[in-house]
Amino acid sequence: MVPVKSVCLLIHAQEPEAEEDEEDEEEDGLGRHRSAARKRGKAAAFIDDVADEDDEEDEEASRQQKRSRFIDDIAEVDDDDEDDELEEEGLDDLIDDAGEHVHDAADMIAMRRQMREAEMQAAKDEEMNPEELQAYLKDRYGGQSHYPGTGGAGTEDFGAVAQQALLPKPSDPKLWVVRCAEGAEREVVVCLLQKCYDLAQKGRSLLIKSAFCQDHLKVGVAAVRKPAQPAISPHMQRGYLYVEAVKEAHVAEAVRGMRAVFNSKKPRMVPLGEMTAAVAVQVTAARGVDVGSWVRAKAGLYKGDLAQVVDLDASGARATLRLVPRLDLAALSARRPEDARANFGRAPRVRPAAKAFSPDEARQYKTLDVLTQRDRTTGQLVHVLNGSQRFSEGYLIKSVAVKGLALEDGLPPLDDLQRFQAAAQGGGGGGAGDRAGAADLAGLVQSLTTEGEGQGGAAPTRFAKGDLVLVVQGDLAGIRGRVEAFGEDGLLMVAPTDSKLPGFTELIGLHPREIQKHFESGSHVKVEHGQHMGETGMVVTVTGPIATIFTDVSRQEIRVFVKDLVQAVAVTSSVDTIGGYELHDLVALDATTVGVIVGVERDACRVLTNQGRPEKPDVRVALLPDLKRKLNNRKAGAQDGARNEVAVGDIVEVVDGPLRGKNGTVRYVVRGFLFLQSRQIPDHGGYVCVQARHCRVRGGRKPALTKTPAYDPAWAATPAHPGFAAPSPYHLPGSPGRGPTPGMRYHIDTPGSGHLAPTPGSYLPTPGMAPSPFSPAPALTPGLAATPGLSYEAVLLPGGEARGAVHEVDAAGLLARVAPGRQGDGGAWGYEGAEASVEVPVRDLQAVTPARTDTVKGDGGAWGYEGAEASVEVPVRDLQAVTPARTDTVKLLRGDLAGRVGELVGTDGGDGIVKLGPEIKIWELAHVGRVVLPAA
Amino acid sequence: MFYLLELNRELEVQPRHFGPKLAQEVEKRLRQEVEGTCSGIYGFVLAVLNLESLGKARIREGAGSAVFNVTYKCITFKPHKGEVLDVVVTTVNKMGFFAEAGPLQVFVSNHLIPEAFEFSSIHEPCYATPDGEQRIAAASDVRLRIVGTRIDANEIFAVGDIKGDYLGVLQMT
Repeated sequence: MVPVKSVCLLIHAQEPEAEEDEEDEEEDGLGRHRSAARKRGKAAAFIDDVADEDDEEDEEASRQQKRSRFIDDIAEVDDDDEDDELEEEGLDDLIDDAGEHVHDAADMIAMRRQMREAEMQAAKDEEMNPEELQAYLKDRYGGQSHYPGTGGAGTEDFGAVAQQALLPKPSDPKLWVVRCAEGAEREVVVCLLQKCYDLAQKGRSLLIKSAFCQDHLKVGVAAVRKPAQPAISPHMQRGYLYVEAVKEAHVAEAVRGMRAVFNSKKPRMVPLGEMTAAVAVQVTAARGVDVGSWVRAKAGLYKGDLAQVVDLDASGARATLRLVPRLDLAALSARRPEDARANFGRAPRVRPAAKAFSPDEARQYKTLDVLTQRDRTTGQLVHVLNGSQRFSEGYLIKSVAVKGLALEDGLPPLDDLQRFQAAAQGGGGGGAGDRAGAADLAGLVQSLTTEGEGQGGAAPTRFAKGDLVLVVQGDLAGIRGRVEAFGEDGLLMVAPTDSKLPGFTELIGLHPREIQKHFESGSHVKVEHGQHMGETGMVVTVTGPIATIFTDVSRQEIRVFVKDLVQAVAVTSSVDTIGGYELHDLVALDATTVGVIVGVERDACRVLTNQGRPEKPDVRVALLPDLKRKLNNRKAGAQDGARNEVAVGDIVEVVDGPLRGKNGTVRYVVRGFLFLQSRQIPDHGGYVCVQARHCRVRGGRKPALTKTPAYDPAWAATPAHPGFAAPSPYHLPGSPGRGPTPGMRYHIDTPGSGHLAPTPGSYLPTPGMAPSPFSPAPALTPGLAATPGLSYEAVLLPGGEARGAVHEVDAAGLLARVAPGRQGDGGAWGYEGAEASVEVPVRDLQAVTPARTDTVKGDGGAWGYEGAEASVEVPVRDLQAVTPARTDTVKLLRGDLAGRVGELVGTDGGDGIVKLGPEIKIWELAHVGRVVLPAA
Repeated sequence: MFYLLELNRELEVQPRHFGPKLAQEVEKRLRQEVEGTCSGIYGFVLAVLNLESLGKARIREGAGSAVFNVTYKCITFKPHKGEVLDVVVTTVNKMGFFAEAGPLQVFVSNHLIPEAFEFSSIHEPCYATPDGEQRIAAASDVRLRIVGTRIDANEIFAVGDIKGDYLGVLQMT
């Protein structure tokens, strides 16, 4: 039972004195704020004016809006005369805190005194808890019921039957609807009360029984009502008030002469069946804003921000909030006083970020005035900025009309709470450790939950049969159990499963308040409420009411309330959708851009597109309209580096680029791009976009040792020459057991060219004529250049040129020579003599064996095992230079000095400092290979 | 935990394989189809040990292929809650680290890493004790306890914990 929010007067004409006494009593008992009373004089005058103007029925909605606010305040009129010195206060204090527009000392003193008084009153307010208030109200009004059946003592058990007995009977006084000016309902009711007093003084009585109006009656309500509603449905609209009286004449007599009442309209009787509906209090109104409840501002600068109510005035119309301030101190200090009026209450164009207030920060602005006071009642330090805004513990303390607040349903989402909570610690820099912060928050939420439930603030936890629960209150606190059934009176029948209660199998009836859901770490759960609604994951830890969950789909850790979780079945499905699109769908963004949805937020999603490069994925935030359509080309295919068909579902290995060596499953194939999902990639749910030709299908039928075009956009445009499509993978020179003979010359095996033994005379070893194969490859992407073991060193130029490129390597460990005229052919002879790790594709398995390259050919390197027992020829792209350590003898593998042998004297980040005879060179470490000099 | 199981599977063999090497073909096909898969019930099938029986195949009418109901012995691996496993760390990030125990991927959240470890991303992302004695980075060997498993139709995922006694880094890298 919550006090009715609308103004309701019960007038007992027979005993006016008693009524008056009680009215006073009520004032004292409720400890009404003085602020409400203090506004009365001014506001009442205002209303009078308005009422004059508004004798017509058609009024502008905006005006009503304004006016009704004031009526809100004035409705709380009482008779004790307050100090009227504060009458001059501006009306705009509706937006900001009332007492604080003070500029001179006298006002300041007055303000302080008044604040002190208000706070003392507030303290009094807090002393009366809801139960007492309820008891008080029952005591006050319960005995005066018009219904003889329930008068007096029988107020305790309001069962369904008792409720039935309360329904009006035909013999009861009727309810009459009186038409009045819209917005003036409260005023009329108050006038009726006054009239009642005045008549009582003269010894006469007003013949009506009661008068009231309903605040929530709005035009909009009509739309929601069922069409079956009876013809007389005045409670759908504004501009009506109800008068309870036996006869119509009594009503007419009572309202006669009141200027807001339209005398042209006769009072109409509310049919018996509708009387209860007229008196009924709106359900939402029943759950009012309370001290400690969480609210959000509906408009203004703080729109949508979470706030906590720290105080309510007695009328419940104004609340004092604790907010995370959004201050633009720079703008505030730049504002000239003469603009203050004009800018008042106007939200700044750019909304400042919510941040804890720091007095030191504010003091840095010379024009800003920060006063520090100690609150006399609470003893807390309060900072007053520019005499108008109050801050406590970093929060803004602000008084606003309750109408402008939206009550948060239960506890606010955890992240909002966290942000709110962070502001309090914000003064300390917010650098508290994650774990410590979590513990604080857990404590906070624990207290909030229990507090909130006491006031009905928190949304109740929904339990289901089979839920594991932990008893948190009462004698059985700490006991675990399982919900088995739902008992009567909302009790849950819980079977204890705790080892502390062995052999105890009887069901225990527990109130939902006494238990909370319980999840073991490792259990698979689904989030039912809040921002992460619908996500499933595994519980990592539970600390008090907060669980940390590792989600299945996004592979993130999230923190949610335990009460928002339910046990989920093991197999999970993604519920993340935006419009008709689901997480991991392939969508088209524009004519050339397609991508996979890798993250879904409330109204936007993140799309990993095909426009990025593996080392720099292009992830765009797309709104629903940006998603053009869903692509569903399951049958699309592409060719991998070895010209194997790649289809959706294949497992491929990336053989080129920075992702080299990663494996993944092909999820989508689009225009030569593969969207892979790989366990080895932590970002974007393991998704990555690569070019099909940089991959190799696992178990591809064709041997996958052809040249892949270099990982390079420039190359990407050039189709590989078909001649390279299928060279034999392994050329074992001679018998397998024979090692490479020094001095023996290998020639590139040029498939398609038909000749295998070019005459040595075709090579011109003149250095000057040899095109520098080490000229920095212009098209290399930087990300790749840093990758050791680059495969594109052995890239052959497309076309016939490359085919003819024949490298001769002489085994003495010197430079290889290139046939002249083979421009730009970046051979891999730098490797010759250097040690390399070799990836050997053996039945598509990877084996990395350190080996020494003895000779290197254009597209194959012969290497010997340790001990030079055997040699195998492998493509250079499978070679990876062994990173040298300090003091190793090294060889420069690339660049203009490639082939030079020196000593590595040190490393600096990714660069190596190489001593080449007398000179010291700094060389990229990736291009320096350890070299094993042939035993001299 | 590893299991030695006897399982059944239907295999279809094309007529062209009918011949003296039919049994080998069936075994090859079986290995191809079964090894490396994961089922929610049995876990990862690691290796087929042997064919217990080929049974009598039935010829599919019209197609001519033979359908064998093969019984085979295989080794499977299924992680259980509470089991202690040795794993190799694959990636380390702020949330914790991922590790692999053969085909199984395990995530260890930073909540389940002892407090003494601190995340550092200076050189490579790792969790290390302030004295630098223990360090969890990629390729570290770690012993952990499984706190939960998620068993999908074709994947098993586990969450591990290294907070207990005798759990943690096995070997420095």
